[in-house]
Amino acid sequence: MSTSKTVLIIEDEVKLRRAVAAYLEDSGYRILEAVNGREGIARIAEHQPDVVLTDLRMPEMNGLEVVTWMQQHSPQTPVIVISGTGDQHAVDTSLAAGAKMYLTKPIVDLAELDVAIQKVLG
Amino acid sequence: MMSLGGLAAGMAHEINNPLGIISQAAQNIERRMSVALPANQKVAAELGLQLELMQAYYQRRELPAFIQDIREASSRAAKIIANMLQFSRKSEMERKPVSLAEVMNRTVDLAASDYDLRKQFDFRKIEIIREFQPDVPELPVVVVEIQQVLLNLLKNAAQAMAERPSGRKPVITLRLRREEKYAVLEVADNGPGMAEKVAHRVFEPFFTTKSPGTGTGLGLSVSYMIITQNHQGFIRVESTPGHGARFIIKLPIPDRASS
Repeated sequence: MSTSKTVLIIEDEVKLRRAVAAYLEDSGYRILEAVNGREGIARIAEHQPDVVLTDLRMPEMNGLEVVTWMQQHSPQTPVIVISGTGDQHAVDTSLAAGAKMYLTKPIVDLAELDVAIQKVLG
Repeated sequence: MMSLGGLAAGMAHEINNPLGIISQAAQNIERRMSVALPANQKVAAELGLQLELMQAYYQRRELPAFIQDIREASSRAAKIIANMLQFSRKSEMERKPVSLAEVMNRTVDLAASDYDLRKQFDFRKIEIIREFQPDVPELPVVVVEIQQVLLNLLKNAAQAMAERPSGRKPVITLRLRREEKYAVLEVADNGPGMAEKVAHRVFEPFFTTKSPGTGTGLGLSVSYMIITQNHQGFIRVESTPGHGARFIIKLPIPDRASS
């Protein structure tokens, strides 16, 4: 599959971020990476990615703050929250704040993520 | 002091990331070993490497099977984590007075249609006897949680009877009665039963008598938390080897429901 869509991955755990990046690169996406929410929104402002994947619990600026910021500054860009905090409250809050989708960590089959991205891209 | 549930949730959450790294790295290796992926073909061509030969080597040395083992094991661990997280999940779910007899009946229907259950045995071949006393008032419980506990007990009973058939027709008896300020629910089977030392440990997290990969050892400990912490009740087991097992749940009847 060949596509020029850009995916931004915001995740503080470097090896997890790299694993997702490697997979999505192989799927044909252009990848941007950020280690926390603050770096993430800088990348968004600079590169306007097509999709944003974000963790929830991160230092400096968390995922929920990223989702909220995007609602104000880049509401057309879909966000997928990926978090180990699988409780209903976290899911509800993320979706209410504007996230398009919530995936629970660990993602044992990355093909699911591929499908999720295609879905939010429409 | 931190509760067992809080500790379990904290651990579960911390384990998720390394677990994700393991399973996702394995998946990347699998994909990057493939002959079909264009990116692999490109790099192989740059290096003058014959991917088909490399693939043949992988197969001969069983590398795909080892990678598959990593993926399956991490997926199993992920299931355990998901179960552990249930320990801590606060019961914000709605409680409304319900008929426990109805909950028990519905759970039997659920068990009969459960795919996992059907894979191992036919639940419909088990005779279900219901002995429900009519004087039990409706109780405010979290229905999905009580169903989870009952389903778990039904599954365990059915599994035990299927794994070690006694020659008798498998029977599960469900009982519901009132004992003073408690509603008492029972799930009894006529299966192999269990030794006293097993009965003492069945509610411990990670204790299991099932073969590896079959049980997580968390079903009954989660049930225990649901009954004791979330519903302020009691759960215990009575069993004699060769004569089946009987799980007894007692749920308090609030004053206003007792009239």
